Amino acid sequence: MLRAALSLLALPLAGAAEEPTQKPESPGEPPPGLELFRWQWHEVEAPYLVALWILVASLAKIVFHLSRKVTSLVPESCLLILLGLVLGGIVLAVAKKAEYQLEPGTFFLFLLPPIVLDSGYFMPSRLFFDNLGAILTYAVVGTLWNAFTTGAALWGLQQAGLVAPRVQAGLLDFLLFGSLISAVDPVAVLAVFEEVHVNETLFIIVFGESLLNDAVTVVLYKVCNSFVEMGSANVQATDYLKGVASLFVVSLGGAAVGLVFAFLLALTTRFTKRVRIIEPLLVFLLAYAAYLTAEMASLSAILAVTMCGLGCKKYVEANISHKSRTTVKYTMKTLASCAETVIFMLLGISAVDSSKWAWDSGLVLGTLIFILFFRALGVVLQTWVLNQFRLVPLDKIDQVVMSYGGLRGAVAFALVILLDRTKVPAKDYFVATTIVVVFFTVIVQGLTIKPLVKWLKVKRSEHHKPTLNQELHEHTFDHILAAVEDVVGHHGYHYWRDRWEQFDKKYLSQLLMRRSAYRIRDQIWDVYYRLNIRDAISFVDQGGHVLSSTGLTLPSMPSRNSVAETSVTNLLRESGSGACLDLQVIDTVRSGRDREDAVMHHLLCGGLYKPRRRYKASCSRHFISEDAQERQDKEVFQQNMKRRLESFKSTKHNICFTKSKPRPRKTGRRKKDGVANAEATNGKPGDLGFQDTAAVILTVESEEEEEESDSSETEKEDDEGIIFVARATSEVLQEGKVSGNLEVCPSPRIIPPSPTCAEKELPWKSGQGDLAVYVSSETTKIVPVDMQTGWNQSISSLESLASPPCNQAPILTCLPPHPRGAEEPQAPLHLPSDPRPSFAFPPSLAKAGRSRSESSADLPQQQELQPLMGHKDHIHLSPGTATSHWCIQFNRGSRL
Amino acid sequence: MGAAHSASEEVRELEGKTGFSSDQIEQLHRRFKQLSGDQPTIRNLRKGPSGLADEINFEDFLTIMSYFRPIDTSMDEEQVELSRKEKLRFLFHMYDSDSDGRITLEEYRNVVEELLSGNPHIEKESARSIADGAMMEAASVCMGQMEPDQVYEGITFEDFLKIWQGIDIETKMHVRFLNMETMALCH
Repeated sequence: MLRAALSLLALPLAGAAEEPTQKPESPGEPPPGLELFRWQWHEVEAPYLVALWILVASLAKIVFHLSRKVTSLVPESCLLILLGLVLGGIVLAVAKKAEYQLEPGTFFLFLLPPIVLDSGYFMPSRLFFDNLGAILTYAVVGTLWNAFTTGAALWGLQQAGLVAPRVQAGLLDFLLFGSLISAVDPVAVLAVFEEVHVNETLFIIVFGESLLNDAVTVVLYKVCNSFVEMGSANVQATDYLKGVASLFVVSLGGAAVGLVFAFLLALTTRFTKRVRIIEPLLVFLLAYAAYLTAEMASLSAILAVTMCGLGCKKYVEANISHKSRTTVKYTMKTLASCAETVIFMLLGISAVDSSKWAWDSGLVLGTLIFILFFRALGVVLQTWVLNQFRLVPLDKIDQVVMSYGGLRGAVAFALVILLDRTKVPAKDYFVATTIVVVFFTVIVQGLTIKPLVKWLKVKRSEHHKPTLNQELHEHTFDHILAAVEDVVGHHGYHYWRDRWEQFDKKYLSQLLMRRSAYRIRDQIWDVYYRLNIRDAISFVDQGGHVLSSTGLTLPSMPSRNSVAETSVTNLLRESGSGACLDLQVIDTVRSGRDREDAVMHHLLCGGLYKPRRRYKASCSRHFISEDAQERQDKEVFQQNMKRRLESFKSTKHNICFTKSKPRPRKTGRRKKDGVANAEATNGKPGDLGFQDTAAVILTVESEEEEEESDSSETEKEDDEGIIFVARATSEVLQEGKVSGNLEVCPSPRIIPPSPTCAEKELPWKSGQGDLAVYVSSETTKIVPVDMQTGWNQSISSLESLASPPCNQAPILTCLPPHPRGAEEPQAPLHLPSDPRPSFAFPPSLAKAGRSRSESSADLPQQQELQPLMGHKDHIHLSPGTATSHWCIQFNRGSRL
Repeated sequence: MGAAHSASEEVRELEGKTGFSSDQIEQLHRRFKQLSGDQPTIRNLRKGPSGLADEINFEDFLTIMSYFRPIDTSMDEEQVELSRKEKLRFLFHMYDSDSDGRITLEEYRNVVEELLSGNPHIEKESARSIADGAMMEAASVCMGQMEPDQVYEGITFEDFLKIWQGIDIETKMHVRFLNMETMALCH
């Protein structure tokens, strides 16, 4: 396949190579009339070739990854270089001259920025700053050391006569060469280390070094280059001083440019609320602008982009929408991987061009040995010094990996190509040496580093999932450590970090984040949110099938939940405890057949997707509207979620919160609605005992979304409110309210209305069964925290599903004269007795009454629990305060 | 320090107990005196509920600080494990405010609320739900598949150890006592 692709692709390339010769002719000829077909190769040539090359590289990547075995052994970068060599060979053979090169201009202006931006933006900033000292040391001192020692040693080698006299180079030339060959290359390091998975500290040190040493490399290269051009005789002492000063200018200047652009970027994204679609573009544009600006001012461009990515991420991520975040992430990764692929391939191709290089064994071998040796020596020396200060010392194995991981790459190659042959007569030798060094480090070291890491048993990075506890503990930790440092009176790292965070919170974040984002911005929140999302996704990923399989067993064996619930409620009733609200408790002992019916109905109801809404067709270039498919998916997703959670809750984490969740919201509008009345009465034409039952209908309005709800975007929900039918005796209107509230999800804008029991258990009774599974499509438009709170709530509302002892009263009230005449007598039996006991249970009432927003889930469960743990609750049940007793209870599929 | 001479015996004793070097002890002592205003004890560190000391002397101070000592590279596995456990026990007690050997939800919530108190826009409510989530997670980590009817009352120390399993505290619970005067640049 590879062969085929290559030969196919070689054709247009060959064509391209031939084409220029015909070029002069074509404009001269007048076109002979109207052409039916015209071949306009020249007009598209340049972009076409670029696209082709990228395509070739991508195809090659696909091919490499067809075999897992190969890629697990050989790093991709090696394969790409080899492919480049092959392609270069073909091009050379066809065109008789080397055509395609890694041009330094292309490399620095187009290929490098995406990679650096990607690495800067996704750099684990905490880790980076935790190890900043070490990283800076290696980047600055290490690079200087490498450059000077390698240059000097090579010069010594030449003096010793081991380098052929053809290589005309003085000390300065060798220093120049040393400066460009000494820098560890970020592209190569990333490519290799990403596959090796060493522990994060080690990775961040090597990788951070490779990014930050750019400033040093650039300075050294420029200084040496200008010295060479001036000629060593003309260099004065002030020039050396200038050289040193320029190191600071270039590095600090680069970083400053990056930070300024990061600031601009964050500030800009703060105002993109109405034009979400350009958010990702802004990120790329401004980062690129930072790169170009730094390049223009001949500052360290890599440093600029790194700082820009590092600095803006926090604010940008908070400001832009969720979709934009995904877009940014993927686009960045795609661009970076694309650029990386092309770089390595072009490296391979460039190496074929023998006209550019001249071989000298002494120089090549000497360079190879020196860079390996001095790298190792430098690492050992610096680590020794650093370990005096580091709390967690770097051990020997780390040092081995660090010295061995010092890969050279395309930066060195591009720099050496940039040399001026008239000024540096030995350029060709240097090019050859650089190519060999790059190939050696990428191929040989890249190939062997994995086995080496394995063999040395380097601590690998563990991929344990982040947990909420961990995050919490780490935060606590930061605070403790800062506090302890304060107590000890030593203002160290933790202290300053704490100070910085305070500052950031107080000023920067307020300035750079939009208010809605700032309000809810917190790392712990983020983790919480991410974990919730992850859970949700994994539930769905496991397939809605899990549920259906449990669902299938249901018909024969009634659902655990319902059994448990009935039994609990039965228990409560039988024990004569007054702790039951009548609405919840009236229990119908239905025949098994009915239950089967109910279960089956739910199964079908849940499993079948019913499109219930028609959406306005709207198209706008500026707003991505979700298409119908997406919506459907979403709804199906939500349904699945719900069911998954239901089963999950009941099987694994049957945790009930006895706490309440007070949540400020608009109180549900309560009104007697003709519709609902009609429903109620419809259900009961015969009307048994309707005089003492009044239907209380609660319609809960969607809470206004305070933020982010672009009215243009939000579709009006046609069925927002939940209509509840709860029976309340006239004397306990308040209670009716309460119980009504129970059924209402705390914030309906997010949560699907949890189905009332009537809908759940006997769905064919409720004309509005739709409501039960309806999930507001707003859910997904909401900014993270909204989703988060929504998520919490839906969890809690799902708990109510998991244990639906919910009011069976509605069932009774709206019982139609239907097959189950047998049951009806039961209802009135309980009716009179129940309202009173409900008052005998003031705590929950008081609580519920006061915190009206009680989630529907909580109370039913409280009712189950409270009789069982009454003594504990008494302690907590001061009126008005929500109980916060924690308890996790596991419902046993009871056999009662 | 004139007192240091006569108290060199004491210093040596403290050295053995806490593992600080005598230099560090001296520095800490200076700091301690500064904090306490030359009194033998620091009073009223927290107006906590009863049962907590409301004053500490220098030895207590040192003991507390010694929890934040970096782990010695010369220690063998067992000692490292031991010191890790001690550190964690110290932490555990910070969470367990009524020191009943259990971090209850209430206690956890308090911690989380304090953590989030820096951001005035996050409501208590959210802090609670975070704590609840964390507790739930802890429950699932520690108890695995729980028996039905089981009630998870709080995180015990064993559970606490389990939660911390993946996190290497050795690299984190550190404050630089060494070279306290000379502020080190690198961490």
